[in-house]
Amino acid sequence: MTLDAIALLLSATLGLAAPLLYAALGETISEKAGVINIGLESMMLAGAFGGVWSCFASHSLVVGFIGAALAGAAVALLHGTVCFVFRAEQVVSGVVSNILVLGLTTYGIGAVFGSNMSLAVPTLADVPLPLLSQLPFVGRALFTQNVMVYGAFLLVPLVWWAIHRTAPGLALQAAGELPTAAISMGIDVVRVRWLALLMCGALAGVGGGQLTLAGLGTFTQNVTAGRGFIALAAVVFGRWQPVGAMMAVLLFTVAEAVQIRAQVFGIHLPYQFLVMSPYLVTTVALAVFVGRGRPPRYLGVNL
Amino acid sequence: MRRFAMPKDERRPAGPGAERADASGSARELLRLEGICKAFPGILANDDISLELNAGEVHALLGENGAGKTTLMGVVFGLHRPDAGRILVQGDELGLRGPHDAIAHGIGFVQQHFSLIPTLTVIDNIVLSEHYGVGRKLSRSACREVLRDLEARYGLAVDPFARVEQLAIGEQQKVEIIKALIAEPAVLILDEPAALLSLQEVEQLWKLLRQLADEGIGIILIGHKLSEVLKIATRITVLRRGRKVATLAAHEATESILGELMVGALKPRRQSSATPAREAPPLLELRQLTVGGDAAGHGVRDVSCSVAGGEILGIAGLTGSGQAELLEAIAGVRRVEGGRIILAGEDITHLSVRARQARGLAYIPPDRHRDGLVGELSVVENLALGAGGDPPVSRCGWLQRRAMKERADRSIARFDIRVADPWRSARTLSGGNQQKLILARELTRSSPARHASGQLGPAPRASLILCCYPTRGLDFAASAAINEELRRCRDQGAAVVVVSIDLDELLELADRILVMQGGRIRGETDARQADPTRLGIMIGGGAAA
Amino acid sequence: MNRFSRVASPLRNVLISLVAIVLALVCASVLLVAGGISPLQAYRAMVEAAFGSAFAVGVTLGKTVPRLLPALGIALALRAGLWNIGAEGQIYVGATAAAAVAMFTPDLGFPVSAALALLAAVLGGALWGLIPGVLRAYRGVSEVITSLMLVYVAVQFTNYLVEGPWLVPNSTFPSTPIFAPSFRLPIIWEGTLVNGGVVLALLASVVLGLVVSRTTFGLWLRAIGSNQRATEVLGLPVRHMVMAAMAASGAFAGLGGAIEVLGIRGRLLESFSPGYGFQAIAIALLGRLDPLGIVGAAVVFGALEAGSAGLQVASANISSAIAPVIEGLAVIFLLVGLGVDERLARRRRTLRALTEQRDQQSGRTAAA
Repeated sequence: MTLDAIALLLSATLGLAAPLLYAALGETISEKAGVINIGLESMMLAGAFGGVWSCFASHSLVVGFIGAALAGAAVALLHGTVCFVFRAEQVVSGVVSNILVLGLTTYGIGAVFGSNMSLAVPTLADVPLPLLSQLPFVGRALFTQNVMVYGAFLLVPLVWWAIHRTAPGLALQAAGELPTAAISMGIDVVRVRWLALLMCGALAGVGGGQLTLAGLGTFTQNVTAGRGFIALAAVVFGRWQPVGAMMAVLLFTVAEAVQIRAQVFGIHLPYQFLVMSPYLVTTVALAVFVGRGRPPRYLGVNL
Repeated sequence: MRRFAMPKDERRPAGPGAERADASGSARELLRLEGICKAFPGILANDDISLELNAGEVHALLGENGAGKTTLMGVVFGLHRPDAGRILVQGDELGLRGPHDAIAHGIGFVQQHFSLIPTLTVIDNIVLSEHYGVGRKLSRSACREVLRDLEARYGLAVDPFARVEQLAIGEQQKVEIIKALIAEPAVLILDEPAALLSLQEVEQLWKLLRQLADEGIGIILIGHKLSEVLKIATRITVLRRGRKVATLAAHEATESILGELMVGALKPRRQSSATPAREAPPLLELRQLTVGGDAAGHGVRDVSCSVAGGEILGIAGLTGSGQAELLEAIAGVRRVEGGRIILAGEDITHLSVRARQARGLAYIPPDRHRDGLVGELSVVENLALGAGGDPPVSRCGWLQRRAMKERADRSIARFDIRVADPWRSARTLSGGNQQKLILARELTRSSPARHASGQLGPAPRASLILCCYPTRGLDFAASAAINEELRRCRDQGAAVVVVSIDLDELLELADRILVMQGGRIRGETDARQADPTRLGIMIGGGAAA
Repeated sequence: MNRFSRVASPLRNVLISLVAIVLALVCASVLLVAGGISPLQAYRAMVEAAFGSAFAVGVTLGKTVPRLLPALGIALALRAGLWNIGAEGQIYVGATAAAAVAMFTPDLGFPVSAALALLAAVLGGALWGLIPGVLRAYRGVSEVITSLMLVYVAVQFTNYLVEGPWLVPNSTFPSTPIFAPSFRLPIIWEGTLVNGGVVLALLASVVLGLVVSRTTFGLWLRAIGSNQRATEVLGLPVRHMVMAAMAASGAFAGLGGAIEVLGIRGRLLESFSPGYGFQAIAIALLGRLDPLGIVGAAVVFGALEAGSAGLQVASANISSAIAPVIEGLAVIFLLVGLGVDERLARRRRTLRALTEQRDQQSGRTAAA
């Protein structure tokens, strides 16, 4: 178990974490405003598909990521319309979204790519940071990633600052915690929820795009494979805070990274237990912890 | 645009001996209401009300619940558009389009129900409220400056970084006052500010208000304890049922004058149906009962009283004085923090609701939609819920539809519930019939009950009946029917406790009347010999002379 | 509170669901046209694949049953206002429990052994539903999140068993050994793959209907789902009911899982469910929580799945993914329809309240 192996492990962890982190940050924003997205998985999946499609059509990764964000936001738009305009239960809308988008994207593979089933698009290259990547252990571990990975981690303090230190961020918290008081303060809670939801969709879409455009280079059926649910778990386990979500995501992906390299580390735990660990850990956390880390009071409640 | 208070140099210096502005003195008129009318569906809340407020004055607005005080101030603050009348602020007629306008014209309102976000800090709440309520972008450091400034000037000290949910009610109110003061208002309205405060906190509040008045701000205080009002106010206006009854200078008013104004002259009393007081042993005893309150109102503090079988006890008082919480505690719906509840000699303080029902307790909750009926279920099913899984309505877990229907038919006939189809949802009934339905459900728990040993035995017919606002929102005929039913229960030996804000109704219905205020019992009187004025004073929190 | 079970009129309920399905089909045809396929042709082929022959009907039924059972459970929980999103996990636990009995208990002959396996599945599913129920009753934690998390715990644990200690060597895909016949459900329709599970599913539907409308338990469930506060004031044992409802819900789903593995397949496979538990949520809603409606909706879903599988065989460039698209759209249109319906109902109610108030006022002035 050499130092180099650990460095590689950490590096891989960060790369694996980025898609989840985007989605988890987006969901944190959304849930703070009181909107729950069981369909986070579908937003990521849509983004993965949209990203590959846009990149394929435009031969540009930038356009690809924009397409991914738009695709995720489109799913959010649907969710918002069904919930805010037609007052459906947020949970139901989310579950249905997962079914629908899985079907649409799978159908889309054939419709869009035709017989090019194994379509490839260029992927993001690693961008070693100038001086930092020369550092002995840390350089390899932390500072040799692709641009979007850096972006994801930079977003964490940004999102924290936006939620806790800006007026719109405070309004976001108000909308999810006590909408009646927020309204009497003059906050347009409906607008806040819409914006939070669309932002979540865009971020989750980018997360999905990150999966295909920075990793796989192609889209396959159900490529996200439940990552959206891990992101949901991360938000809960991270107590609805951006930094907490990041820690949770890192914790969960370390497990995945370790599992991939299990033999190297001489670990004989069956990989399924590592895969289930995020969910198990989150359930226990929900059962045991009370107090400050509780969800926004009006989470999931339509006005 | 924002500073409508008097420029600081024109303000009277604070300090001992500073006179209070006199009603006819040389002080400026800050606010004038002329002929304000405001109606809601079914209620005329404000009927041609006129009012003036001068600089440096503390003007108290008194009245019972529903007199129209809060609505009137809501009109002033731009929450409601008046149907008729004018509002003049410092001579200018206003067409207020909303609270934004009101704040911009120098009117501040500290409402009864706080609009603070519990999980955010004081600073965050103020920043938020300034940003979205007033349109002023206040940075956190600027906010801290303001807080320090206010602390220096008025002694309003609050930990800026505490989360609102960690603060005591009194401190939360301070935050609300700070929010209002930041806008540098010329007029400050406070709605029942002393309602949930301790005596010490009330003193601090009055000191603050006096200081603000000395600086030239005009203050309107909405009605609360009469004794406190007389301490702080310079002028008093009394409202009753939407009309202004009188405006008088504070030095001309006494508690009894105010009490009589609030409650009204003695109406030709209907024949009281009170039975002569009997020497019956108490059926229900409360010993130093203490129950927690919440944001909605006081809890119950150290209440002791008793009710005998064959007696109707009325509990009067303004809403939020703890009466509803008291009944909830006796019914088992609210947790008791201290003291005991004794029913027929048995301590039931910690028994479940079901257990109390088995011992003959019936509870009519205050809000028939929220806690009373299950709206979507049919009338028959709602009545069946009262039977609680016992025969004949259900056997071995199976519903006996015929027995349910019979039970429903009996109740419908007995209680005169007008219903087209008892299998249709209870929501389709009118308010009066819904209330009768709840009454029927509670009073006919006459299916066999299980005793502690598990044996079936004849159930106690309801021997203790608790009603909270039983005739709220009902028309005359339905109210009469409900009250008649309660009298019938009393005549059959049950102990009945009725909470109502309608003093006239209580005087007619009850044998004895308790007055609650601030979570405590303020006084007790025999209904036939009750003096409404004295009751009015007690309800307002004044001394029971 | 619960808009899905509003009993306005059964006709209206059916109408809204039917319209939703039709609209979904219409939208999907747009998609098909965009992909260069004639919708009419496609739908005809689907109907043919789903109902064209006795065997086809059998396949449809086979795809209906594992969706029907969890849907019944979800409907039961929803009556009490509880969202059992984790039905998928309860399916897996039920299947695993049944498999455990089938593999490790002595063969007592049919039907005893099969009954034992089914019982184990019911208990397993109930346990897996009970956990979120307890957390909700005693901790106030949302059953949505907890049951969802437990899905993936269950799926992974089952996969671990199938790929690990229970794996039968030399199989094309990870699987347990095939179970002995006395543990399995026999074919009841000659020439098809329809097994006894269909009978069980229909019985379960009847049971749901009876429980909800004719038992005290069902009455209390509906009361809690409609107005929980009032039931607390009434003294109903709300906490116990919440736990019981979630457990019962899990029991239905567990039974569904058992039928899957004790039926045609006859063994436990890894990741054997293509999302039955989640589709069941859609089915429960489309069926408006009514057993008859749920059976109907489940058949629709089963037919869609069978039909699209057949469709893919017929012409390779049509993806069988059109089925989930139709299913998803159907529920979305249902939600939209319910939203519109609710707005209309609210308008009617406001009108009625205003009229009543006006009558009251005139009554009061008349009496005064």
